[in-house]
Amino acid sequence: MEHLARIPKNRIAVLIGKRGSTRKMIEDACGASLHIESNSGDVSVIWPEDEVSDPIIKMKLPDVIFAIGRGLAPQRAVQLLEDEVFLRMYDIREWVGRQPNQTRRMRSRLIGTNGRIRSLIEELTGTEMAIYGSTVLVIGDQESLALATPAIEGILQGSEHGTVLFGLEQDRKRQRIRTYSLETHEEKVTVDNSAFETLVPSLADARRRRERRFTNSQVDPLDEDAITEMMKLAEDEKIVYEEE
Amino acid sequence: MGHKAILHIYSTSNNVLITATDLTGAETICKVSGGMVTKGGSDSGGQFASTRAAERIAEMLAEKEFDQVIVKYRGAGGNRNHNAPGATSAIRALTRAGVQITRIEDVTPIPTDGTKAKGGRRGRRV
Repeated sequence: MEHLARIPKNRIAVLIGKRGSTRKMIEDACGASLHIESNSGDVSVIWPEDEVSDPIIKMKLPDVIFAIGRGLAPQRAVQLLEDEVFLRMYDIREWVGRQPNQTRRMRSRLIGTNGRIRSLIEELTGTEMAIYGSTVLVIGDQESLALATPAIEGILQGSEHGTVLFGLEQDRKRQRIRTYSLETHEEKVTVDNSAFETLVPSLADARRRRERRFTNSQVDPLDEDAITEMMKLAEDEKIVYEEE
Repeated sequence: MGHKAILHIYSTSNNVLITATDLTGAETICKVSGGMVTKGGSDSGGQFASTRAAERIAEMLAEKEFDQVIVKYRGAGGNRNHNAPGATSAIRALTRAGVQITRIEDVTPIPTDGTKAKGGRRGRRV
């Protein structure tokens, strides 16, 4: 059993869902069984023993549970299991301090009337936001997170809504122009150093011997037989005793 | 039966560094960086670079008879960005290359307190 995350008590119900429907959805998406401690809010997971599960899903599951704990809807949070979707969290208290009135003010600024500002940011950057307590959680791919960061930080710093939205529009225009041009990657070709190896004939031999010796020395230190096997010399190795 | 190695992936937005060490972590077996596989300086932190770098290191490990790895990935950490953008694509490329991954760990340094973030009071001005 592997511990994943601890979530607030009033999000436990969301994680489980009506008659366990949400929990079942997550279990189907990742192929493991969740174990939720309803007294403390600790969530752990049991991975199936027999089959080899996808390592990426194992790596991303804690993020999903954490995101649900920080106020993201479970339907949206399972997107995080995809390869290119990442999570980023901002703490409002870092900008305005610990006073509850101030975090409340910033929450309202981020959400806007009837959620106008939040939906505009989501739409213009292609991300999804959850504002819960004193945290702002954003999920999206790498580029859209980079777009959303200045907008959210701008609002938290106290920029006017107009300025932030104007900046987002400009970014989007720039993005659109970039998508017209085809993305190319140039690959670096390595130069082979065979000319040097011909100059020093024993160099390649010495290197091969050293690498082989290193791989052979990767044995279990408790296994006596393996150690004696390791200590034996190969055909092309010898120890020369000489007097000084 | 091959040997086991630890694969350290340090992935930031500007570069990705992949180092394979033995199980003590002290002895480097081989290493590849994003800049070694791409030509453009700004490409070297992207997904393409991390995929190529992972393929390259899988080749090198196969050559040296290592077939199992423990992956330890990290982002910039500290008071900077905590997520590792190249890690997922690197791990995906590793599994595709036939490397057996026994365990994945996130080793991003997370501060319990810390210093003020870079950028100043008025943020980064472009």
